[in-house]
Amino acid sequence: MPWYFYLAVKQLFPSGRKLPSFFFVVSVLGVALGVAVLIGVQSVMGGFDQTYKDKMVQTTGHIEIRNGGSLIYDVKEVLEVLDADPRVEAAVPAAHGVVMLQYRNRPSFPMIRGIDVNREHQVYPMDQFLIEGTIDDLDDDSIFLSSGLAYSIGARVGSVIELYTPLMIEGLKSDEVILPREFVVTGIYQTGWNQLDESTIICTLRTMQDLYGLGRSVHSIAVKLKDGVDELAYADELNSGKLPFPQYAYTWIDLNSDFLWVLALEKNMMLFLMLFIVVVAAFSISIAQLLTVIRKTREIGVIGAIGGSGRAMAVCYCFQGFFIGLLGVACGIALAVTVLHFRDPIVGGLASITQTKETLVKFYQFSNLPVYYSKSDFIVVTVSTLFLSTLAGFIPAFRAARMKPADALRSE
Amino acid sequence: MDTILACQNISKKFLSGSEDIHVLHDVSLFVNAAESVSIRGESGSGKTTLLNILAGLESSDQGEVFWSGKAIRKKSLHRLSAERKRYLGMVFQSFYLIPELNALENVLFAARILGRVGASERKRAQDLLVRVGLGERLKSSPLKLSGGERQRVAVARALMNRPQVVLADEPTGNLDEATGKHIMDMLLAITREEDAGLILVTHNMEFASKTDRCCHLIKGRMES
Repeated sequence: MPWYFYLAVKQLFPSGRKLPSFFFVVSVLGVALGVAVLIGVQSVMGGFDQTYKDKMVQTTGHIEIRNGGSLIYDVKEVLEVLDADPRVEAAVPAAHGVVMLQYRNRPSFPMIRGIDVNREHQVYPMDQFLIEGTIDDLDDDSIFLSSGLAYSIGARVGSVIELYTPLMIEGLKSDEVILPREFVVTGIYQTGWNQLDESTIICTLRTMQDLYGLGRSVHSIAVKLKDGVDELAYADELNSGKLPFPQYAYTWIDLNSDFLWVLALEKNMMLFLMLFIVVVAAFSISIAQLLTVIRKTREIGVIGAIGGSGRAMAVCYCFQGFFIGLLGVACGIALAVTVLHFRDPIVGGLASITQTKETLVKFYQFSNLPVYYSKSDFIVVTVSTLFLSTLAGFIPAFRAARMKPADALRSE
Repeated sequence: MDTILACQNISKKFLSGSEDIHVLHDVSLFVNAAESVSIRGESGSGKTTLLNILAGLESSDQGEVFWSGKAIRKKSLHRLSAERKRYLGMVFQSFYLIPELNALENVLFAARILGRVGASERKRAQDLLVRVGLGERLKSSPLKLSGGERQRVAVARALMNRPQVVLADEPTGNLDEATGKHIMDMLLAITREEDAGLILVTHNMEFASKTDRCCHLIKGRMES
């Protein structure tokens, strides 16, 4: 081992001493805490991201085929193409729009989605989302309400609600008397995806086609792909000639691009802000190393006098910074993973102490704190921490390298 | 007899405020192989500066230093540093051992800087420590050694790479009289055994008289 690496290791772990130096322990601890916070925050943010993404896929499928701004008339043909593809788990047609809902003279304007009851469960786990009723309860005279909507209008299973559609309002122009369609609420669902749970209705596809006067056409076809199939590549394949123009396949990433961008921005901002903890830790390394260099001025002079070069001396202190960073990263990751492993008892305990457990579940809709370990998060945190800690060692290293042995030996 | 270290007409001045302080005036000195030379002088007479210039740690304003007959002025710092570790051994008044290393590791460190740490180097380091009377304290930390013991480790370190000349800057300055005498006898004996030249800077007349040749530095001027 070259002498500068050897000296660096020995300065951190002196011979004949059971414990490493105090400065070393403090520096490693600083980096470890910074890394633990970074990994912890990134993994929890990743967990939220992943949960939202799973919900998006669960509620929209991997791909949605649309026909520009128009309707899809050749539903049967498109479904045949998709059903014949072994990469497709299921495909389901859907129609959606806005309606006016009235219950006990309380109006609301929710989104309505008509689903094919026979095929729907193959794409969306609707039965998992239902908190009241079953999928078999949905027929042409009944509807399911989202939990948020049911709560806001005070409806429950068995309530009869009235729906007005744009088609009915269109009839007003020809002086027609319009009567609302009445439906019985047979189910209430909660997906965990706020956008859907806030104000949506689900009815049968036939009902929706009737309400909107769509005939046999639909607005979109949702496609669920088998595990391991790349949705981006498959959508590209569909868009390069497999679908008749102007039909177009959008992935769930395209459909939620704004939201995904916000999620990514939020995560990156968190990383950027939390990285300052590591910067502070790097300063502590730099100060500790600088103190060591000042304390060891004469030793550095002697090493120079017996033939050690300034450049090698600089490598010695840079290596110490790197090594502190490396050990800090390892300890920080271990600490973060341990804390995250016990996250539920920790969060549960805190929520119980502050008596906010129900509030937590109500607002976040997750009974457990989600965590997602991303390889890229680990790489970014490790590389940036190692870079910062090595850089922290550079300042004292530069000072050590510039010392003239004769001056160092003369110093008081 | 071969001259292994020499300097000719060395002059050195330092700037103190706006005033030049002449530390060395036209100093010349030579040391032959296996010869011991003492440089005596009062504090501030320029002894340490001369030693630093001889070791190539400091440059002179005038004059030239020769290692084995070759002038060192034109050598790059890197080259000088590389040659110094083979050519010179240094002993300082304050020992300057590395506290994180034990006695044996401190001695071996000189070989490490040279890039050679094998079984033979390890054996030589052990032998040197045995010869300076520290055979039982190989694994001791410098912090647990007495001043005399530390200086013995420093002497062993200086001799580790079989230097041609050892420069000792008041090696007994921080020791009591009896220990100082013992260290001095040992330094003279061991450098003779190793066929190394010795330049000893001291202000102790008794120690100086034990060397082959005595020089006296008075206010930066050499008197033999």
